[in-house]
Amino acid sequence: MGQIRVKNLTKRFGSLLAVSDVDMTIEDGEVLCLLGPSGCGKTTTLRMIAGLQQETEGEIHIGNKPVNHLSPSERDIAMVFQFYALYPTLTVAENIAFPLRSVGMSREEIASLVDAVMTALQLHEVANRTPGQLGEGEKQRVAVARAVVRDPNCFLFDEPLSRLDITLRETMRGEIKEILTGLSKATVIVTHDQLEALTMADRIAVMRGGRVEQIATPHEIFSRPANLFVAGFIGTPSMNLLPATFTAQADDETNFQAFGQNFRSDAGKLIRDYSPGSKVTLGIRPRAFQLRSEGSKEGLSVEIDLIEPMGAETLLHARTDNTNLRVVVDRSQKVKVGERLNIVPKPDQTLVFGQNEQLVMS
Amino acid sequence: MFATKKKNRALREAGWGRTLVAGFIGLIYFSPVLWIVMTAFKTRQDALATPPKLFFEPTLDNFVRVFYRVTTDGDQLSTGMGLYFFNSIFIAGAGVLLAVVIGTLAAYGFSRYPLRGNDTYLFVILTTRMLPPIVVIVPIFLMFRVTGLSGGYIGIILLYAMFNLAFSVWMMKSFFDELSADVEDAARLDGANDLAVFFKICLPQLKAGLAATVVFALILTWNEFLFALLLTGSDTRTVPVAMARAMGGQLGVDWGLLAAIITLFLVPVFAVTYMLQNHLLRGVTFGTVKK
Amino acid sequence: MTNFLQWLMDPKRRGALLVTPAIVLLFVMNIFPLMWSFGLSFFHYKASSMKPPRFAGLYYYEKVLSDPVVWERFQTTAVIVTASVLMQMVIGFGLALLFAKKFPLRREIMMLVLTPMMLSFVAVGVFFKLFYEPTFGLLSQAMMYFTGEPFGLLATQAGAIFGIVFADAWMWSPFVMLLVLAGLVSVPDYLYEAAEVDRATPWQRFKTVTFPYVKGLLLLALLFRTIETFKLFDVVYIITNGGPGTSTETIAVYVYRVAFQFFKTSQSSALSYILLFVVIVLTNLYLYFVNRREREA
Repeated sequence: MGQIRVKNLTKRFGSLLAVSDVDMTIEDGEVLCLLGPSGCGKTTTLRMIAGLQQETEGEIHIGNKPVNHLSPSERDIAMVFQFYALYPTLTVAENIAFPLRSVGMSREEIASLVDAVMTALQLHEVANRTPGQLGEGEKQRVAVARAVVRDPNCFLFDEPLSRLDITLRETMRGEIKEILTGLSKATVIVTHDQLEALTMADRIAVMRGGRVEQIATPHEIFSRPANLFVAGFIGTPSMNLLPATFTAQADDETNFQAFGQNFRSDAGKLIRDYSPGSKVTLGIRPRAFQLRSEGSKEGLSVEIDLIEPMGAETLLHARTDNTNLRVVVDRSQKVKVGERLNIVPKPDQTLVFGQNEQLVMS
Repeated sequence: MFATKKKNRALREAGWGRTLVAGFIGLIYFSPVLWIVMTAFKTRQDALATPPKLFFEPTLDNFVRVFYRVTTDGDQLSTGMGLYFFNSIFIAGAGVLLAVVIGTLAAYGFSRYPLRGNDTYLFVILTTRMLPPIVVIVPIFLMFRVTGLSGGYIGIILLYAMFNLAFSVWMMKSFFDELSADVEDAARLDGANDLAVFFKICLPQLKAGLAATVVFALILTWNEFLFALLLTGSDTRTVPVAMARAMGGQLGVDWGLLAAIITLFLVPVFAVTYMLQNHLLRGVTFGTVKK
Repeated sequence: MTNFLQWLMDPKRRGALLVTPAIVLLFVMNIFPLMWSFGLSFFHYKASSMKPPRFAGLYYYEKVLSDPVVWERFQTTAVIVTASVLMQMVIGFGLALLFAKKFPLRREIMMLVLTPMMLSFVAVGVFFKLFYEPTFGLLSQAMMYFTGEPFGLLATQAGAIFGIVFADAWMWSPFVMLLVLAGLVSVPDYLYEAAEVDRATPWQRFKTVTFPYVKGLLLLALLFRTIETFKLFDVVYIITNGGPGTSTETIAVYVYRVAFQFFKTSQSSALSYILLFVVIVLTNLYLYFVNRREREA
C-alpha cells in the first residue's frame, strides 16, 4: 500500500548540490533511518518526500503513485517535525483532531479516534492545555499522537528525539518503536544520532554531502561498512583506521605491513586480484582487540598513553609510531600508563579498504 | 525570590533611589501634559493667572464649551466639535481597517510567497511611509481636485488607508516572519488548504500583533494633521485641524477651551499606549526593529 | 469565469495575488500622483489658475537649485535636525541607562516618559506654545522670577530654533531610549559574569560588553530620527509658523508655502522631488543597517 520509492532525487539550491541522485525504496511496514552529519541532505530528502520542498530532478512514488506534482496535503503523509510544530493556539486535543477535521470527518468519529490515541500516549491529563504549557516530552508525544491519529500512506519523522534529554530519549525511543511496529507503515526517520538509527531502523541509509553512502540493515552497516566514511561515522568510540600495505594472502590469513611491523590478521578474503604491495586502510573497532604481553609475536606493539575508565569498560589510548589507537577492554583488565604491550585484532574483525576508500573484502 | 534575581542581570534590581530619580525625570516628561489637563479644568482667570496656580477650584465649564456655545440670547449652539470627534473616529477607523486588511494579506504574501524583487517592493512600500507628507500631499491635492474627492470622506479615508498601508505591511510582516513555518507545513501535511492555514493557524497566533498594528495605526491616524488640514472640508474636519484653527483665532487664544479639547483628544491615546507598552518598539520603528 | 478563478488561485500566483491589492492602493494613492507631479515639474503650471500647462524642461529644477532661499531653508532644516537628533540621542541614551535596571514602579514611570511620542504633533505644538507664551507661559514666568522681565523665547531666531528643537527632543528622546533599551536588555548575562570574573573595570565592561550590543540600534535610531526630523512640519507650523520672519521655516514648511500659499505648483513639485531623493537615500541606508543587524543576529 504505502511503499515509498525515490528515484534519482536531486535538489540544488543555486549552485549548491544539497541532495544528489538519491535512490531508495522503503517497503510497506519498513522503518528506514536517514543518518548523517548535519548538512548531509537528509532533512532536505525528507522534506522533498513530504512535498514541502520542490525537487530539482527525480521521481517520488508513494503507494505506487507518482506524487511529484501533488501538494503536501494531497500526498496523505503524516510527519513529526523536529520542533514538533504543534499549533500554538489549539489545545492538545484540538491539535490531535486537526488532521481529522481537515478531511471533514464526523464529530463522533473524531472524538473516538482522538480519545483512543490520547489513551495510548497517556495524554488525557494534558488534553486541554495549549502547547506552551507542555514539557518537551509531552510535546513530543502530542506530535506523535497527531501523526498516528489518522491512517496515512506513510510516516515521516524529522529528528524526533533531538530535543529530549537522555532519559526521556530512551523511553520515547522505545515508545516510538513500539508504535511504529504496531502501525506497520513505510516510515522514514531522519536522525544524526546513530544509536537512534541503530535501535529503531529496519534499514539505515547513511548520507554524506547529499549522497547515500550505504543502505543496509543496522547489523550490516556496523559489521560491513561499505566505505571509510561509514566505517568512521558508525560506532563509538569510532573505528581505528590504520594505513597499511597489503603483502600477501595465505589460506585463511591476510598479511599486512603496518608501522614497519608485520601484521597478520585473519581478515577474511579480499576481493579477487588484489595485488600485493597495494596501499590499504585497515579498519578495526576499538572493542575488536585482544591484549598480549610485550614480546609476543602476534599483533602490533604499542605503548599505553592514557587510560579513560568508562564504567563497565576502559578506553585505552595506545600509541605506535605517532599514531593513536583506541582500544576498549573490559574493566577487569589492569593496565598502567606507560606500559608496553601487543594488541591483536580478534578473528574476522579487520576491515580492509582500498585506495578508493571502498571496502575491498569479498 | 531567587528566580527573579537570576533572570536578567541587565535588569538587575536597583533600589528606591533610582525610583526617585526616574520619577522626577518622568514627571518632567509628563508635566506639559499635566499642565494642559490642569488648564482644562481652570476658569479663564485661573488659567491666565500669574504666578500660575497649582491649586484651584476645578470647573467643567471648558468641557461644556467644547461642544456648546451660548449666544448672547442665551441659546445653546453646537460648536461642531462633536462632529469633528466623530469624523476623527470614523475616518481613522475606516482608513485603518482598510489598510490593515490589505496590509496583512500583503505581509503574508511577502513573508511566505516571496516574489521576484520581494525586497524591492518592500523597500518601495517603506519609502512611501518615509516620505515627507508634504511631498505626498501636493500631487494628491491636485488629483483630488480633479476627481472631486477633496472635502469628502472617501478621499481622506483612501488616503489614510495608503498612509497606514506601509506601516501595516511592515509590522505584520515582522510578526509573520517570527512564526514557525514548520507549523504551517504541518497543517498542510494534515490536509489543510491554504485558506485554512492562514485563518486557522497563522492569524490566531497573531491576535496580539494584529491588535498592536491596528491600535498603532489608529493613533498615527488620529494624530495626523497635514493631510486632514488640506483635504477635509467643514463637514469632514478632524479634531487636530479644529485644534489648530482654535489656535488661530483673532481674539487671542482661548487656552481653557483648547486645553479641554486636547484633554478629550488625548484620553484614547493614553488608554491604548498603556495597553501597547510591550509592542511600542516595533510599532514606532514601523516593524523594522523587533527587539 | 471558473477558469479565471482557477487561474487566479494557482499556487504559483499566490504571492502576487496576496500582494496585488496593496500595490494597487499604493499605486493609485501614492505612486501615480507622484509621477504626475514629477511630470508637472517639467511644465509651467499653477494650481490656482486655469491655464493649461506649458512645457518648461528643467527650468524649475534649475530655478529651485539655484535659489538661495531654498538653500537657506535647507540650512535651517539641517540646523534643527542636527541639534534635535543630537539632543534626542544623548538624552535617550541616558534615559535608557536609567531604565536598564529594575526598580520599583519602573513600568509606571516609563509610561510617563513614553507618553510624549504617542501624542499628536498638534497637541505637542500647543503645549509648547503655551509653555513659551511671553505673558503667562511657565517659561516666561520662571524667567521673570529671576530677571523681573517677561521672556519671549520665540522672539529671536536662536530662541525660536531652540524652542522647536526642545519640543522635538522632548517628544522623541523616548524613542531613542526604547531602541537603546532593547539593546541593553539583549546583552546576555554570561558576558557580564565573564567580565566580572575577568575583573574588567566598569568602563571596559561598557566598551567591550554593553556597547557592541547597543551600537547597531543606536545607528538605526540616528538614521530613523534623521529621516523623521527632516520632515518636521506640524510642530513648526503650530509653534512658530516659520517665524520670526522666516528664520525657523524648515524645508517642509517652505514647500507647504510654495504649494498652498503661493500656488507655485511646478516649483513645489520640483522641490518635492529633491526631498524625495534625499529620503530615498536615507531610507536605503537605514534598511541596509536593518538587514545587516538581522544577519548578525
